[in-house]
Amino acid sequence: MTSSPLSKKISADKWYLPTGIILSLIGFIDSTYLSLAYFRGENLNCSFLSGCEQVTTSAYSTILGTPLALIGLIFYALVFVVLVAYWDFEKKFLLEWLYWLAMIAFGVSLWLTAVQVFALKALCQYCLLSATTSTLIFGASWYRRKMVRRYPIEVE
Amino acid sequence: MENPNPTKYELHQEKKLAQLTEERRAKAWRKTRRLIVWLTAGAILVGIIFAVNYSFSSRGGGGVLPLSSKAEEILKPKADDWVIGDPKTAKLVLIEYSDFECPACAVYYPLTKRLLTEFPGQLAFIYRHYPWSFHLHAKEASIVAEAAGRQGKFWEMVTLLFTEQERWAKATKAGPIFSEYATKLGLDQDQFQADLNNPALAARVQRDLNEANAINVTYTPVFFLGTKLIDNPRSYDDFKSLIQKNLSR
Repeated sequence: MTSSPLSKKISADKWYLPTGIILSLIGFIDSTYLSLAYFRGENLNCSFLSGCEQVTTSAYSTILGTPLALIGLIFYALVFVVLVAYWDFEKKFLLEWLYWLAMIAFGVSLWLTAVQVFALKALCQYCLLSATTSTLIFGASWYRRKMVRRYPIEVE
Repeated sequence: MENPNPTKYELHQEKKLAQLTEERRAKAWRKTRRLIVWLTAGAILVGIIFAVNYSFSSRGGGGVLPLSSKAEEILKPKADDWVIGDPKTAKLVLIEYSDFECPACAVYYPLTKRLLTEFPGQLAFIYRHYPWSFHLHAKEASIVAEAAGRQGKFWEMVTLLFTEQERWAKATKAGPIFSEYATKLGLDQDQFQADLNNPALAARVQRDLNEANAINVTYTPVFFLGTKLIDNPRSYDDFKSLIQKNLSR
């Protein structure tokens, strides 16, 4: 996979890249579902999978007219693309960006979950799933960053 | 023409040529690989969007396949069903399984009432209970409606429950609010409270619930025209044309 004589592989990436890609795809599928449900006006029924109307139709569910689900979708697509780009081009700055992006997403998820629990008193499973994946993505990025900083020697 | 005795220089040249060709091939391969990687990545994302979108359309019909003979039995009007209209003389019977705490159900109820005024005598409507376990007051609300029904005010209570859904659904304890409704409808409070604790009413609600589960109801509100499951209409006009279409069959 070596594309240039200067590239070296980092051992942390062996688990970080697949994990990140899988998590971002899970989040992407979840956000796609929520976004499509929003745009299709699928509030036509209640089912066990969606005790969600209260959350997804609340005043908190859009920012400047954009549904949060769509913002989440863009975030997960971005994570996915950045990870693929890193795998392809092996540029370190990509993962630095990702780390900060993941941190912001984590903060937003935390706040939104708090809104669900305390303000809306209603929980939406799909929203909680997204909160979980964004937390895990941030956790993995944070851990990788710590590992790589502590052991700057790169392993082939 | 192969030279049988190549000079050192010629050997070196051949080696270099081979190296260059190899490098070019490797570069071309890297380009191809890059293209494959990105096309696949894009295809995955786009594919997911289409797949999820498709699952919406195919789910729209509810994916409920009633077990045929059981469904026929269950979807017949019963003697103790709550009916508007006369199922014996009406051309079409609309059966709804509904949850008082379900927002979508609250939206559909006025629509069905309006429909009944547009097709007098031709359409009969049956309301059946399907309280979700994740709706904390739904079952209680169903029993409240049944209790009101015991005093002849079932439909009035249904209307009240749906109109005020937000209020009692969000309350920690809905009991006092329900008692308030009973008073508002002019019901006898003592009898009302006694009926709330009558196991027969809870059993009646449970029966609707069990039967619905037997025919694989997975969402509410769910509508059956006769024994045929219909997609939840997206608007009143859609609902009306659906009824009209079925009436003219």
